[in-house]
Amino acid sequence: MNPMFDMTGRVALVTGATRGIGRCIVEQYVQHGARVVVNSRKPADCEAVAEAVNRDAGRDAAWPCAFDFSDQAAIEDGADRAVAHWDRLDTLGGNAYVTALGTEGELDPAVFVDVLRINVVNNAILANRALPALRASGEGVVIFIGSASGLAPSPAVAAYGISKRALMHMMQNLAVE
Amino acid sequence: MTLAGKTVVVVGGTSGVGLHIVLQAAAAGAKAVGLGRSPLRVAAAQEKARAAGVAAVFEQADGTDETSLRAALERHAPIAHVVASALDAEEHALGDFRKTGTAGLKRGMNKFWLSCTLIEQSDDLLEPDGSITLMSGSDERKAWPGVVAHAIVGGALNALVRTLAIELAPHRINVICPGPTVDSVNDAIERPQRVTGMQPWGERFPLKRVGDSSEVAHGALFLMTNGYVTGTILDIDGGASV
Ligand SMILES: NC(=O)c1ccc[n+]([C@@H]2O[C@H](COP(=O)([O-])OP(=O)(O)OC[C@H]3O[C@@H](n4cnc5c(N)ncnc54)[C@H](OP(=O)(O)O)[C@@H]3O)[C@@H](O)[C@H]2O)c1
Repeated sequence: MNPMFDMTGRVALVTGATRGIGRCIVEQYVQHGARVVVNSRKPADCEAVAEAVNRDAGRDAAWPCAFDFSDQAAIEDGADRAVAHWDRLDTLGGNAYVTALGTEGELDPAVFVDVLRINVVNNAILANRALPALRASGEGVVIFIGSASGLAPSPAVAAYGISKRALMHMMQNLAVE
Repeated sequence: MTLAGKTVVVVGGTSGVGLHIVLQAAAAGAKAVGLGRSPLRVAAAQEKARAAGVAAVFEQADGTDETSLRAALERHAPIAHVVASALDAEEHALGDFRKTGTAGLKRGMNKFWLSCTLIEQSDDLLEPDGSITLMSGSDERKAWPGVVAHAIVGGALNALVRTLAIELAPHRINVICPGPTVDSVNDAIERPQRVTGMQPWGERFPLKRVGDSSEVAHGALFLMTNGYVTGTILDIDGGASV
C-alpha cells in the first residue's frame, strides 16, 4: 500500500454510512487501517453495518453511533459520543444529505429551507462540534461530499444543487480558517 | 484499477514530481519509465530508484522532439498511463509581464506544446482504459504577480483537459495544479537554493508550507487508478487556490 493511503491509528466519523457512498467510505477506511464510527438515523442499520465491517476486518474497527442528522441537538450529542468512543477523531466524512426533486419554479419554500438547513447548516454544526478533536489530532481532515449538481446548473434538483454548492463554499471557508 | 503489471511513462520523470511518480508507480507494481533529456539526471534517477529498492527504468528522451518521444513511447507500448511532468528550468521565465514580455510567455508555453506532443504521440499506443495526466500549477487558480508565464500555461492546460476529456474518451485525461513544491529529500542536497527560495511562498497558504514532490505524485497515482475520473483539475497546493 502507498504509505500516503495508510490510515492506521486514525479514527473517522462518517455520516450516512449505512449504504451507498458512505458505506463504501467506511469499508475502504477500515481496509486502510482506520477505525470508524458508522452513523445514520437508524440504530439497527448502524449496528448491522458495523458488525459486517468488523467481521470482514477481523478486528474491532467499526462502532455504530446512530443520530438524526436533521436535529441540531442530536448532531452535537452524536459528535461528542463519536469522539469519546475511541478518544480521538482524525477524519470527519460529511456524507449524510437530503434531496428534493423539483425546479426553482416549483420549489416549496419549506422544503428549500430544510434542504439548505440539513445539507449546509447541519454540516457546519457537526464540523464545529468536532473541531477541537480534529485540531488535537494534528492531522485532522473534514471531507464533505459535494455533487456534480453543485457545479453546473441542475434545475431538476434545484434546492439540492444550491445546497451542495454552498457546502463547497463552506469547505473553502473552513480550509482558510 | 491496479497498477500491477501496467506500463506508466512519465515525461520529465528523472527529477522532482515526475521522479516520485515513477518511484510510487513502480512500488505499486507498475512497469514505470521515466524520461528526461539529461543523461546525468537519468543516471542519478536510476541510482535513486535502486536506493529506494524499486525496479524502474529511466531513459533519455526529449519531450519537445516528436521523433525522440515517439521512439521512446514505442519501445514501451502498449502503455496504460502517460504523464507530462516536465519543466525546463532554463526556460521557465519568472517575472512580471514587463520583464518576461511576449518572448518569455512564448517560452513558458513550451510545457503546453510538450504536453500536446505527448498526447498526440501516445494516442494510438495507449490502452483503451488508459489515462493521461498533465501538470499545470496553482498560479493559474489564484493570481499572483510575477508568475504570469506559469499562469498562462496553466490556464491553457486546464482548458485543454476539459475539452479533451470529451474528445478522447474512453481515454481519461486530468491535470494536477501543484502549488510551490520541493523534493524534500533530493532538493535539500542538490538544489538547496530552491528549497529556501520557495519557503516564503508556502507561508502565505492555509497549510503554511510548500508541498513535497511525493505529495503531488500521490495525486497522480490516484488519477491513474480511479477509472471514473476524467476532465478533472486536481489542486494539490496547501490551499493556495482557495
Ligand atoms: N515545483 C513546483 O513548485 C511546481 C509548481 C507548480 C507546478 N509545477 C509543475 O510540476 C511539474 C514538475 O515540476 P518539478 O518541480 O518536479 O520539476 P523538476 O524537478 O525541475 O523536474 C523536471 C523534469 O522534467 C525534465 N524535462 C524538462 N524538459 C524536458 C523535455 N523537454 N523532455 C523531457 N524531459 C524534460 C527534467 O529533466 P531534463 O532537464 O534532464 O530533461 C526533469 O526530469 C512541471 O510541469 C512544473 O511546471 C511545479
